[in-house]
Amino acid sequence: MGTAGDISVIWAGTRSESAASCEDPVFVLCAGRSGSTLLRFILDSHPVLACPAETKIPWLCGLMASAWSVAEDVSLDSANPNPNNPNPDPNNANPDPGNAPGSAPNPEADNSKKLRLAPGPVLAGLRKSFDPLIAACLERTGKRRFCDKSLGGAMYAGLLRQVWPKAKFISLYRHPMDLIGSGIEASPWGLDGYGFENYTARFPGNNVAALAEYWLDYTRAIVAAERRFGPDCLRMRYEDLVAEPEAEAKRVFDFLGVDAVPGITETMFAGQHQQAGPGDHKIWQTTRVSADSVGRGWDIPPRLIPPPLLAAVNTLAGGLGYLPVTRNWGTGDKPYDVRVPA
Amino acid sequence: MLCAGRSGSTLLRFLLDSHPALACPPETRIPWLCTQMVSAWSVLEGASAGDAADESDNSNRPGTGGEPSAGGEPSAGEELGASEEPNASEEPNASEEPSAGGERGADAGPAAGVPAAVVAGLRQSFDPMIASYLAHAGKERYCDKSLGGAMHSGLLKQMWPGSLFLSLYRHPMDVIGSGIEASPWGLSGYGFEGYAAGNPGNSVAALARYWVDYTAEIAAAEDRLGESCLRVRYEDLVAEPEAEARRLFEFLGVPAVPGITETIFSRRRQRTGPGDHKIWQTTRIGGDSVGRGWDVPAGLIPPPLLDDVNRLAGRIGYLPVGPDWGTGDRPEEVRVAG
Repeated sequence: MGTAGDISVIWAGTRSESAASCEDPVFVLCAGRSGSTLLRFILDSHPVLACPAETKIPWLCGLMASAWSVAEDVSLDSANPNPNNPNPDPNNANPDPGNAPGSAPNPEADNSKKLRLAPGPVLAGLRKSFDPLIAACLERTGKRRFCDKSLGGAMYAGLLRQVWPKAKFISLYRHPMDLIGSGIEASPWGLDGYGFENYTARFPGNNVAALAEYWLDYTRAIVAAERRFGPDCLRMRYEDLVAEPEAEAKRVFDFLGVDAVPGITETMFAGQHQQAGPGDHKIWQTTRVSADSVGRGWDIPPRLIPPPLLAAVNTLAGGLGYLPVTRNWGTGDKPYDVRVPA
Repeated sequence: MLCAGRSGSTLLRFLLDSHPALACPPETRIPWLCTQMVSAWSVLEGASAGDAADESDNSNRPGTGGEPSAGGEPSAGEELGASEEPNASEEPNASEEPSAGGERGADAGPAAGVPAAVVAGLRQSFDPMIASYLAHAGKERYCDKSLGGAMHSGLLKQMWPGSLFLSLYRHPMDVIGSGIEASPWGLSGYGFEGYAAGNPGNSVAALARYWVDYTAEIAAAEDRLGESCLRVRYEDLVAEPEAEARRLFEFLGVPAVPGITETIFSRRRQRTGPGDHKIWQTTRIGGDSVGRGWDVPAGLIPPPLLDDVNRLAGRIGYLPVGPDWGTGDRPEEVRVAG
């Protein structure tokens, strides 16, 4: 265990590679019902990686930034270029509050263009508040690298990058209609949880449109973060993951610079994973990775999605390699695949 | 400091912060943040105290600021007290309806089930913030003034067992009058939003409900905390500032500073962070704003709500709001004599 003054390196594990560290966490940027708990299981099953249930650390970072700005007597409005930030944007004269620390997450914020820089003392303060959390998790699990899977993290990706300049990101996507279908199935008594509530209010009586906008907002924020972070962000699609789990797991581990673990996607359900905390409850009844749920959104009526919203969804989905949702959606047999053939 | 918006909390902050041993910054919202961090520490400690976080799910409480995206479970915990300035940091995905009002808050607060490991973790997250502020200020003891802190007081006491609390009150009609004056374009900030939404077109009723909810929480915390809590009324503070300052400092165990209330506005004071903007134009403590709510039409408060207001006001030693409120000359005093 490191000292309070050196918490970034917390223990030298039994493995020879390197000591556990708070320096390079991994953040999964995702929406609800996109397979994020499955990805969490894969990450958490790796002997080096610890990926607990949802901590909401990204959102908490945004909140704590405000408190630290008061404690340090520095305004979050006064952009203070951070030398550790590889992509400073000092010319941003109109910072987007959606990506600013301490502000409301604006899912439509384009993180790739509008990153407000948090003052250095606030960033240092955030490390003081959050590194102990990460250190505690790594120490308890005996692992070396922390992974966070919190819904909506993309809204805070700019801040996360400033707080942990060596962080890596994984952007996770799922076809919009499958996400909608999964969201409706998971909320039989009304859309609730996963960040759905606000969208329900916008579309009373139309859960399909509500979740279409949810998908659009969250996905747009994830894409924006992905563009900003370039090689430090790995794109994943749920459909790829369930189609070729071993290959995708290897790709993730390569990206993170850790050893591949052949067979991990078969053994991970038998391993111990922390149950405390939010996540997809269905995972506990799952025994294997399956593609059965791909195309589950085929029965969702797209006519309930207003045309402008549907157009925006299709534009974004197309960029991710997904089939568009046309007026023929739902007619005929369920598609074998919702991805555009490569 | 357990307080609601428009109750004189920034004045009390100035007073505390003027003491050579005490540092009291603008609103940090540390109490609410502590509750939010419970869930993260619970997950990472492997504690089964989503349990603990759930206890902060004051589902009937007003205000905004729950979780952005509760994965798999409905969001828990929201902020009772927003800052004294319109606040952009609310998250968008939770908005509770105003509560049914009346006296509440008799629970032990969110601390009851928080495991010791989580409490220790919370200290690790927040103590550096306090230490940093004290180091900057060159002072010894930290004071926090955040609106709505009362609903988190149980957790705060568990985190810092040696902590002391100040419960601050102001007459309901004066809070309403001050709140309306501070929000000329519609009720916003201070935690008003949920109340405005629940009472469209009637800001008086909205703020009456706000006062009842916040005051009930503060009074309940005061009951629980016993000798660890000192009651302060805004009206007492502005009527006899020196005596009240001496009483406060004595409670906190720091030396009295004669004349402190005459000098507090001349000192440099941190401006970063929310607070009452009017304080910067203030040069002395005055009782001018006592009774400002005399012009507020009490008839806009529905009778059951008015009953709640008067029951709580009576407990704190305030004049009731009767049918003749606002008729005749403005009273010089809103406290019950003696």
